[in-house]
Amino acid sequence: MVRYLLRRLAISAITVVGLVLVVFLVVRILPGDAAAARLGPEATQDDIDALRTRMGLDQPIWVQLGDYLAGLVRGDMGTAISTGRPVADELLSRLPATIELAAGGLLIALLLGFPLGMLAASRRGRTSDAAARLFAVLGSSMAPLWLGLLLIYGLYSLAGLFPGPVGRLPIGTPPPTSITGLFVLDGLLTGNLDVVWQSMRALALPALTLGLGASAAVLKMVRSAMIATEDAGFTRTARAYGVPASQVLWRDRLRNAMLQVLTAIGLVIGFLLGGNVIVERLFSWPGMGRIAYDALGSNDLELLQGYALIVGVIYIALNFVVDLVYGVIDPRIRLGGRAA
Amino acid sequence: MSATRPAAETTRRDVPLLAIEGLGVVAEATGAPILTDVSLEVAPGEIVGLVGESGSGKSMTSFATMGILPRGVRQTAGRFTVDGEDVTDVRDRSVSSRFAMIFQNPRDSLNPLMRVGDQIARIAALHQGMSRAQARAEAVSMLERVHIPDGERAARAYPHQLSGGMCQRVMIAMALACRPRLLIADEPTTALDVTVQARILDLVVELTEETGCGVLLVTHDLGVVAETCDRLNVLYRGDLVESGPVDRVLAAPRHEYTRYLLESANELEDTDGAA
Amino acid sequence: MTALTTPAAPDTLRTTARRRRPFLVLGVVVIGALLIVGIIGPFVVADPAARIAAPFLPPSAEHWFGTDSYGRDILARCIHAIRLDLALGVSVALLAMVIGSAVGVVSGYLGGKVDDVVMRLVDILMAFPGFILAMILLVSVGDSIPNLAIALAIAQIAPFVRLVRAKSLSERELDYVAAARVSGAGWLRTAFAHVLPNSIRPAAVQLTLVCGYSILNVAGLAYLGVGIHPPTAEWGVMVAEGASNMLTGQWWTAFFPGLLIAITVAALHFIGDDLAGDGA
Repeated sequence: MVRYLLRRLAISAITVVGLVLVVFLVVRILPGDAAAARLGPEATQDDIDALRTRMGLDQPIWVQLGDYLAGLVRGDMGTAISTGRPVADELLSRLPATIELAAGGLLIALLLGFPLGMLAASRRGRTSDAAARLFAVLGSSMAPLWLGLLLIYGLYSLAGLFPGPVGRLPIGTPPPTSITGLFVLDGLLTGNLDVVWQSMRALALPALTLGLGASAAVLKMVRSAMIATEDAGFTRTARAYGVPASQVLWRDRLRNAMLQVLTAIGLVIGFLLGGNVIVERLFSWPGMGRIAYDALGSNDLELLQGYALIVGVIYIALNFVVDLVYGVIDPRIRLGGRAA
Repeated sequence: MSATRPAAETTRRDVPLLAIEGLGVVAEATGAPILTDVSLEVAPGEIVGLVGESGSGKSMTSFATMGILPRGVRQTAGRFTVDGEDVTDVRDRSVSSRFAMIFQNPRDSLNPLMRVGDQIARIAALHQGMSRAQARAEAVSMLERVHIPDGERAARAYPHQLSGGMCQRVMIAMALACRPRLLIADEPTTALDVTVQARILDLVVELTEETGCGVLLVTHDLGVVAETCDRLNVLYRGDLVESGPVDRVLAAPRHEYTRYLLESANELEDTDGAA
Repeated sequence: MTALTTPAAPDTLRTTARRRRPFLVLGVVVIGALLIVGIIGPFVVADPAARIAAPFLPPSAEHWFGTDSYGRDILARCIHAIRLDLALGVSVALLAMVIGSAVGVVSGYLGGKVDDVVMRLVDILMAFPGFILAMILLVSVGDSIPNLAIALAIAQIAPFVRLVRAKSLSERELDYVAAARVSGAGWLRTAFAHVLPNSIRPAAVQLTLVCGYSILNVAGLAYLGVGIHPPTAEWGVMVAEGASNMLTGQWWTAFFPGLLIAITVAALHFIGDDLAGDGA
């Protein structure tokens, strides 16, 4: 277990280093010129040169990389050109909003995808299986933007069931005292149930937009993993000895299927993180994705670089956690090879 | 291999432990028959061989007997009787008739996420109505009964920590925890090392003699049959082509396919040198 | 119950009744229809840029999909967009497949250190959600349709590398590969002429899926103002342009182009899922 952990940790660390290098190279070396891009087509060469000097772009690439890495170690990700504030502050102050949205999306994806996937597997080849698979295909075929628009039109404009796309709380509602930065959680912790209710209502549509697409992926994974365990030898043994069907399902098949689902859950996490720029813009959600969108508009490469880096690190960290959980569940990894 | 077993004294065939009559099984998707009119009997304390090449329907016969035909395969004809009583419509023959089964790939047949002791204990609890603690003790004693030296320690192991032969012993211990009247052994030694094969077979024979349970031994290996079985059934393309006492069938096969099987087995033995 | 007559001969078992594949048929029909309309349609329908009617006309017999804020016919624009969207989807997928498969087969066939390095690089590539990687690539190198295709392709290389590598790893152990080596073929030739053709099947399935992702990603990027811009007639751009009309009630401006995206991507998924299930 310790060896497995160290190995996963080392791989994650290498990946983070690679990530930093790739992000740096993409932004600094590719043919685009950050300074020219920043100033737009009307800028004179003098203006561009001046800005290049200010951004350190006239230095050799190794010096730039060294500065950048030294900065990262101190937690300094550079300065956002568009706002003049440190990139790290800009992004990390918005992190809780993004986490709240992604967590809501993940919850919906799991709540929809798991039962539907198990249902589809248990009724393989029948109508309900076909319906579940159709749902999965449709869920992964809709552009998140379009799905979000449909939800807004149907459930806000027409039905009036949910608040409009105006962010985390209705305009005029003060946010709860900040403890974690997650409004739902903070509301619960401070006993402010009105805020809990309001923020959950505001969260519903954006989380559904993210979660529906992700639920399709969860459904497919759960379905194929459950089908694999249906034909597995241990299932046959349990059935042969008359172990009750519910126990075979929950104790034998589901636990084994979970292992397979876990290894593929990274995909879902990637989907949730990747989709957040669009969903945050559509719902005026004040998260990191919204900052990234603003950075796109103002050609703020420093900020975009920081965004890509933070998302990448979150992604790697979550995958490491998945590996950890895997190691805890699976005795083949927890205990290693032969002992008896 | 080990010494030949003396022919069983149980020649009493009037009320067999298990009788399969006219079993027919088809693949649902195509309607293609997999088994056609298969009939055989097993008496208490008797080891009955069922041989045939792969795809001949040997395993399907044993799955059908346990009542665990895989998805897409359906029984269309035949009945099962236990002690003369019809159990064709009984869903859970394992518990009600005390049937047990061991498989070709012992490690795959065990849940990789459960300690083997727990896997045996839950079967013991289910079949003998034991409490958790009793079942747990039963698991350890069954492990020791199949000659695993430290039962306590083995019970705590996960399948991946055990060798293939050990896993098959665990499977046999699980079978014993049912107090079985019939043991179906589906190619129990095929996936094991040659040196281990003989020991597992000896164990099966020994336990048959001790417990008096009947055994249906499914194999493609005529050598195994000659060593262990009392009677022999030959399956060819889903059809039972020959059955009778082992000595008679091996000495004077009546069906062409049995002769063919024997010849190929002899050739193998010759090329192997001493078997 | 009577006994059945003939035993199962192995050959009758193998010739199973022809599997009905409704989803595959549906997918192929939809894509085929889109191709035909995409080729012929632009000669039949109005100019996508022409302001031929009043703005925001709802769907009617005359304008099936209604008109947008400039009075342009949405159906005509949707039809003109077919070529661009399909061409982008296919070229991104092909580009990613060619690069990914080449890297994958070399990595899987050579194994060892090369394989280790390639797999670390793939891990790094996979540490970004593809959409974000494409986004920053595009911003760094500058907007243009070829750059868009390249950026999206780079973001999709990693799964191809993994799939082809995994298959090559098992394939290289087989006898025909040894035979090729014995007959004097070099490693490059063995890898590409012998191992690759036998390892490409999972990548072909991925191809249809990536084609679909790319169309979705083009739409997503367009909404963020990157990649393809108005007034180009492209489905994603049209959804993005129509987004603000959704709150003011002109649902049709974004609805129809988005529906076409969903139908197209779903058709590609149907084809891919069927190919994947057909036992690679």
